[in-house]
Amino acid sequence: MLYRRSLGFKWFMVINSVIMLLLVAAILIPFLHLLSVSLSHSSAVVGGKVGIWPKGFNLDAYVRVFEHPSIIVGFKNSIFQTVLGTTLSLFMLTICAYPLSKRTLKGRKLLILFIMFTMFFSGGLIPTYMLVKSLGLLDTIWAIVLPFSITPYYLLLMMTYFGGIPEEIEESAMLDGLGPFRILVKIVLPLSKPILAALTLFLIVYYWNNWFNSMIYLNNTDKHPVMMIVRNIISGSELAGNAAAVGDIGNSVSTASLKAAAIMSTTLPIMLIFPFTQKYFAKGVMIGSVKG
Amino acid sequence: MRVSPYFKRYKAYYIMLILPIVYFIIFRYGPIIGNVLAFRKYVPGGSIYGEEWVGLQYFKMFWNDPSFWKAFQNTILLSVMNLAITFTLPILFALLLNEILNKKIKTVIQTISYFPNFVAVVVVVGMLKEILSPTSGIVNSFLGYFGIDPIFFVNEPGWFRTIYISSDIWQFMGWNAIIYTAALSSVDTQLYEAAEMDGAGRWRQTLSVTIPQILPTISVVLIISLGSMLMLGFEKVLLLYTPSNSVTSEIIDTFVFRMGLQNNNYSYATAVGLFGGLIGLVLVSAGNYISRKISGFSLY
Repeated sequence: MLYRRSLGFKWFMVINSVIMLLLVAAILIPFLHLLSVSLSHSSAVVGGKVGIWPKGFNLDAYVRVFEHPSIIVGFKNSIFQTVLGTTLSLFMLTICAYPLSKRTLKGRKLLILFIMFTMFFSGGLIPTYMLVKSLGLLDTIWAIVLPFSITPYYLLLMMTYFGGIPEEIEESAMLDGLGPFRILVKIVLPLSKPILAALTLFLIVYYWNNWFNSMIYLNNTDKHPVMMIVRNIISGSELAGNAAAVGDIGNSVSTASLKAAAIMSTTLPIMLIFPFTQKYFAKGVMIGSVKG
Repeated sequence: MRVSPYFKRYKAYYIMLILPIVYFIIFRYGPIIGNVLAFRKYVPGGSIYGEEWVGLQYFKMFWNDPSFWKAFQNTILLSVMNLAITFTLPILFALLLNEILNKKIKTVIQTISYFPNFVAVVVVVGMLKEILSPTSGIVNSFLGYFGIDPIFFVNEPGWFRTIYISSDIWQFMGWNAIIYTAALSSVDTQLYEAAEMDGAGRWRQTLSVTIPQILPTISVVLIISLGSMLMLGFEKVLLLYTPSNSVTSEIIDTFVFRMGLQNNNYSYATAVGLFGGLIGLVLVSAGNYISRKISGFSLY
């Protein structure tokens, strides 16, 4: 590549590297800053002296956050919602996508149209709320996991993937006397690990990060997930009266540190799984985009 | 009765579909039918589909409501500005990333760039509020060095759109660039070699080879995002909303939420929601139709 030797190109490479460095910094600095705020002494935080390195290192903010009784309950609720929601969604998506990936299935086109229409036109917030209410699901976990168990877009990804599995593999299993249910479990699903992994991760992130449905459907705060509590902490309605509480532990924790600690502790689970699973995330997007 | 061989073979597939179809009828079409509430009067404790027909009463109500039109205008403005910026930047980012020669560094940058896509919106807004805080925020203490008085960014109506759009860039630029990065990596290297032979420099190659090669991807993404442009990040807007910035931060979705679930004007809010939903449906269908005509790609 001749152009690589030109002076102009060398300058471009330098500038480009600087741009990339700045971008990476712009993404990471908010996290580093919040992490240091959560670990710093209140005097430094209030004075606005904390950059991306903690000043007056201490873990008191985390101690205070985890002493807060609703946080622990919130974590339990979040885990419960995430596990149940993800499992239910994967099950529903699979039994819906597998039959629809069979091109010879009569009525397939009509069913796909029936499903995909809901991708473009949905009932909207109020009718959905009224329905959930009239079904008596308010204040139960089913209000969180049932209405959203099949996302048409994820269904599309799964159908596309199943449709790409060679028909011959299933044909030969059928000749061996296996029924469709067994073929699905024993042959199709093991061959679909990439899409299952990608969707599992999308769903985990969706349920873990969700707070809005809990806000409107769960009046009982004992059932609130941790994101809902973090939202209350950030808006200032939770951990109120923390001036008194701060006094208890020697004034070392500021409100900002408490908020930062709450934010960091709920994002940590996502941060921890991300490096190991990011290749599946990207794969999930690509499966969607190659569909012609 | 004789069972046809077709049914014998496909019976199991239809059995699998029973539960999903029931789900779609109840939870997806139920609320769609529930939109009749927009034309009917709701009585607390009564049917969710309302008690009596009132025709277009609720539509006339919001049509004559200046606060609805303010929300409508805010939605359009924010959508257009957001689309213009968040559509262009991922393309530029992908092009620049493509020029990084070291494969490992490239992967690391890309991975970091799309991590924010998985950060909860509550957390994103929480971070914004901390960083932009007038008392302890890093931005205001930085501005303080230049003698600028602290600005209460999240309360100022004039800053709302800037905050919304910049955080959208932060959250989604990397993620939205993945599709272009993939398109770039599949460009035939022979095309570059041929261009090189013709004496084209890197800039010339970008203009004459790279961009035409990824143009189909760009146009598909553009049409799809034009179609779905009104789907703003409702939760983010709701979290950023304060009474003092409501002049710019009230959009149709938050208007529906406030009217319906906070003030219990269910029929009124349903009417507004239905109106917004129909505009969205028209845009998406148009985008999808054009996309299929031009490139053969469509969502359905």
